[in-house]
Formats: sequence, C-alpha cells, structure tokens
Amino acid sequence: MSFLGFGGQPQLNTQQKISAAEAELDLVTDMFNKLVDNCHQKCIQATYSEGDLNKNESSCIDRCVSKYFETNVKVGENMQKLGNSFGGAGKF
Amino acid sequence: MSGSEDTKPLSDATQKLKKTGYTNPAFKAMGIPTLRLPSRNWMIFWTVLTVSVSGIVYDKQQQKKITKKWCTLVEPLSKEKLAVNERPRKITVFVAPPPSDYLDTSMTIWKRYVKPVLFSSGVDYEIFTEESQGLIRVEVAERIRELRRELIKHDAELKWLEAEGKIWNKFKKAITQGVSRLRSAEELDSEKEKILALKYKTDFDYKNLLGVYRENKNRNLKIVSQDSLVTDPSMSGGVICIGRGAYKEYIDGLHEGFLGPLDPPQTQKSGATENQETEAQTINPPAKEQSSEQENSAEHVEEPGATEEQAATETSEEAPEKPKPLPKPYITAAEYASAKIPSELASSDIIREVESQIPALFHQPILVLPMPHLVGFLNIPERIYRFYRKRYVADAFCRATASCVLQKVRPFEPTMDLDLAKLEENDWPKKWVQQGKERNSEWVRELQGDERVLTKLRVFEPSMIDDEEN
Repeated sequence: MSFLGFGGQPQLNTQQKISAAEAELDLVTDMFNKLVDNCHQKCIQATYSEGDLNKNESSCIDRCVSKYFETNVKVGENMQKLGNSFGGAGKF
Repeated sequence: MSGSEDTKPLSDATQKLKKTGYTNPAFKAMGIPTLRLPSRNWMIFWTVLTVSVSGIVYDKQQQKKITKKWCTLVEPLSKEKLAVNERPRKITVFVAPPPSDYLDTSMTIWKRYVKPVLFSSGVDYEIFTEESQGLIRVEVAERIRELRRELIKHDAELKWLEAEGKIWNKFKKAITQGVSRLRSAEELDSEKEKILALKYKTDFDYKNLLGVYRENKNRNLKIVSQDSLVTDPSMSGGVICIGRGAYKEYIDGLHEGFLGPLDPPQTQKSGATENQETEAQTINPPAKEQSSEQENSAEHVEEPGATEEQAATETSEEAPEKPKPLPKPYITAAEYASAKIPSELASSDIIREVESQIPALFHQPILVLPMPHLVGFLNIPERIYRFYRKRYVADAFCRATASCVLQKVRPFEPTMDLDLAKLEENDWPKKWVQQGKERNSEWVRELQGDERVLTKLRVFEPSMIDDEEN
C-alpha cells in the first residue's frame, strides 16, 4: 500500500498486469519485425532468382541477426541505466 | 615560371635559350605564352614526385585488382545452396601481433587480403586475437583439453546408461506384472490420465503455438554443421595462423592439449624460478609494459617460498590493471617424447566433438601466413622497397587464403612443415629476439613437435592452385 506517496512499487492489479504484458509483447514483436526487415534488406537479393538460400545469404543473415540482438541488448541496458540514474537523481 | 626570369644580369646565351620553345601565331593571338621546358631543378622535382606517387597508385590499383581476382575465383562457392538447418564450413583464424608492434598491423593484413576472400567464398569464420604472447597457446590447449574431458564424460555416460538400461528393464517388468495383478482397471485409468497430463506438460513447447514456428515445416530439423557431414576430416573446417608466432603457439598448444595432463601439474620448483617463467610468458610484443613487469619480478624474487597462486594474487593486488599471468604450459617440449597419448584420443578413428560432431581441431588443416613486417630506422630502404611491391604480398596472401577455401590439402611433413613461414623470423628485431631469449619466450625458441601428433596434422598448400584455372 502506498501511503502519502511512500510505498515503493504500487501493487498491480490484473488489468495492469495484462496491459504490461501486452506492451512487452508489442515491444518484442516490433523488434522482431524490424530485425526481419533490416536483415532481409541487407542480405537477400530482391531478384529472388531461386527459392533456397545460398551460403552467402545464410551466413549474412546469421551475422546480421546476432549483431542486431547484441546491439539491442546493449542499447536496452544502457537505456535502463539512464532511466535508473534519472529516477534516482531526482524527479522532474 | 622559373626563377631565371627575375635575375637581372642575363647573358646572351641564356636569353637565347629562353627564346627557344614552341609557339605559333595562333597561340600568340590567343595569348598563350611560349611553351618551354621548365628548368632542370623543376624537372627533377616533378619527375621524382610523379614517379613516387604513381608507383603508389599503381601498386594500390594492382592490389585491388588482385584481391578482386581471387574473390571472383572463389565466388561460385558462395552461390551453392545451403539447407536451412545447416551451418556453413567454419574456419578458425588465429592472429598474433608482430614483434614489438601492435595487433592493428596484423589485423590490417587480415582485413585487406584474407577476410575479403573468405567472405566472398561464403565460409564462416571465427577469429581469435591475442594482445600478449601465450594466449593462443592457452586457448588451443584448453579447447583440446575440454574436448578430452567431454570425451571421457561421454564414455562414462554411455557405460552408465548401458548398465542402467539392463537394471531398469528388469525392474520395469517386475513392477508392471505386480501392478497389473494388484490394481483394478479404474485405478489404472486415473493413473494413466495423470501420466498423460504429466507427459503433456513436459512435451509442451511454445514452438507448437507461435505462428513463426507452428506453420514452419522445418521446425523439427536439427541444426547441423557442414563440417560434421564430411567423412574426410581434412575437408572440414580449417585453421589460419597469421604470423609465424601464431603458428608456433598453435603447434605448442596442440601438443600441450594432446600430450599434457588434464589438470595443471603440481609444481615442485622454488617460487623464484616460477615467477621468472610466468613473467616470461606474459611478455608483450609491445615493449612498453616490460619495465613494470621487471619491477614486479624483482619484488617476487625476494620471497622464494611463495607459491604460484600467491604470486598471482600479489601481482593482482599490486597492479590491478594488469591481467593475471597466463597459466604455465602443462608440458614442456622436452617431455613430449616420454608422454603417452591419452586413451580417449588414442583411437585411429576421427575424433569428433561430442555434441556438434565436428572433427577436432587437430584434424583440420592448417594454413600459415607469414607476416612481412620490418621495423627500425636502418631498415628504411628495405621498407620503402617493400612498400612499393605490396601487390606481390597481396597476391601471396590471397592465393594462400584461396587454397584454404578451395581445400588444397596435403599431409603434414614433420621435417619440413615445422618451418612454415620461418623466413618471417629474419624480420624480427634482433634486440627483441635477444630479450625474448633471456625471458624464455616461446616465440624465439626452436619449434619442436612430436611425431605422433604431427602425423595427424594436415596443411593447405597454396602452390596446389592451378594458375590455369584463373
């Protein structure tokens, strides 16, 4: 229970939990779509001359996906740090 | 134009000379002055400048052409199809910095000549770099030891499973017989339902629900590496060592992992000698850290009773920014002959990694690239000469890399192939070699190998590429 604003994390009810989960799913889906878009654009020839991937394309996709994830995680961590430091330093 | 115009006292001869040149009335009408050769000094200046600059430009152009030529040669390989569950062939690259220089120098070679060829051939690569001596050896040895540990574990598990299987079968028979006699049919049904529920829970997988996977007909395929599919281990993977030092460390590491014990040997020597040896292994090719290391070693010698671990902790306390010293080699070159081949590696079959089934590192062929790198003031003429002939180096590098990609493999010849890229040692600074000898560095030691290990190796041979096919 928050009393006069000191209560740490407020208790979440079911509705809030669901909306939080939805937001997270949105975030993940968005990232996934962007990843697919980017790596597709970067690695796959738009002429689509054959149905299967060739070696170059598949290793390109491999690298692209792993780089994308790594960057995403790093950026996320940094943003969290930034958010924490703002939250700790004083609220606007 | 030239300075001769400003000088007042001109002799007739020079005035006449100045008059010569080419002109015609049309030029005059257009206001174009007489065309004349510049003075001797200017001629020399312009000639030297054009020759030196065009030399560089020509060399660069040729380098580009050569790299492109080799890239197009290997390009058909990258157009081959690859199943979705397959991983392409993977090449391990070890890069060491040249003596008394930084890693960037060797990375330039990798970036300019090796990587483009590998990239355009569609092979995958893993690159391992070192900043200080010994890292490659430790890494290679550790990989092989890890493989040995896994093999031992795998064997033990297999045996255990066999034994377990026998016991379990007997047990199960007895129990089912007993249960069917004792229990009524209803009880059995509920039991069955429970088991089914449990089974459903354990088999539950999001892959069966999520759209990306659910509709994907390939979802149950196991990912396999192409390296694990070939029967001949010399056609799988590959190792590239850039620099003679990297090669020496690689061979040392192989022997250490192969013939050495699995756990670090207990040391009986006094602390003082140990300190010296650990220090010798942490020599950096860049000379800047050596002075601080000497100080550290001087401090350690004062307490000869200290064990290696203590010494290590002390160094980390004294200089927290310094990485902890590398582990000593588990076996020295003198002990190779007396060491036995461990039982898990003794079989004549191909030894494969337990999970991925890729042939072990020592089955994969080696490519050694000598790194021409000269330093020093007195060597400047030679360095200039080499600078203008970089295209030949580029060609050698690209050809060697192509031989790795195209898998031109021959067996390792113990008498000759330990000296691969040995010419590079002539470039090493004498002072640095001297210092290395004092510190017992493995780079300056004679490379020694054991017949039993060396015969298992294979090397890539650049000269096996036919020039006809280019």
